[in-house]
Amino acid sequence: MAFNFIKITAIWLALLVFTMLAITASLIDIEHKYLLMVVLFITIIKGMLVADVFMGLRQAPKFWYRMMASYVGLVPTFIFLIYFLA
Amino acid sequence: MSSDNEIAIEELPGDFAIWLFIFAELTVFAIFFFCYSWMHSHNPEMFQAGQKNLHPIAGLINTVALITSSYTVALSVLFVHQGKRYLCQLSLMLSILMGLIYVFTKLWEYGELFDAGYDLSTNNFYMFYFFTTGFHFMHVLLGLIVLAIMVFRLNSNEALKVESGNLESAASYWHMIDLLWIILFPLVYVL
Repeated sequence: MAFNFIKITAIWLALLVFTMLAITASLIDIEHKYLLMVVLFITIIKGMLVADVFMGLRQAPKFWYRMMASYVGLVPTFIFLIYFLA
Repeated sequence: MSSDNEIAIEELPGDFAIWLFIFAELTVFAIFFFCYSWMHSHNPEMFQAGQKNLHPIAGLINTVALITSSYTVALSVLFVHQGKRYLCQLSLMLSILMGLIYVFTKLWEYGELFDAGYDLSTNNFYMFYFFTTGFHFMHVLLGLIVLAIMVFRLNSNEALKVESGNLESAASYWHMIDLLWIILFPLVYVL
């Protein structure tokens, strides 16, 4: 596995920054549907970073990587659709 | 690059069975997330009133703790492949410490809500809140036990090679816990 200390540390910092961005977005007075889009977009990015680098699935067989990428992409998207279409 | 090298690179971290378990768990949680979102979108007043009684700072502390623990677990896998046993054990112990911060923060949060008179039977929001976060909480406890076992099993340089696969499995499970919280946190505290 192509683990790398700097890469892992950079991803950790990026995850913390994205968490703060989501919190900041929730504190700004914007329409709920836009907040939904921003927060769920950030959630997908964070999920992909964990799956790619922390879990190391980027180096795994494609089937497993695609399964996890589908989960990380589809679950927040369905959540968005449930809120958006209600 | 030879085909042998490609096979060596394209390797699933940890045991095959743990990935079946991980995807089964992810599926169960996905159903919880969809049910929570559906109920929230059809009872917005009830859910927003419930969310106001939660502690967003506690949610933030838990998020930072789990992301950091996932980071130190990833470092422990890096160190085990580099043969650095003490750094590997230290990383795992830091992960356990971060996990314990999550556990005590969550217990404090539950205590505050119970003291204020809220429980599973209060309404649909609290039913989903306690059930979903409680189920996740139990996964954290199991993950902490697994990480603690790994610290003790990595007790010699010979054990590093033998246990590296088990450590990858444990790390994958812990990252799944982090991944689930990454979705759960905005759902419960932010949206």
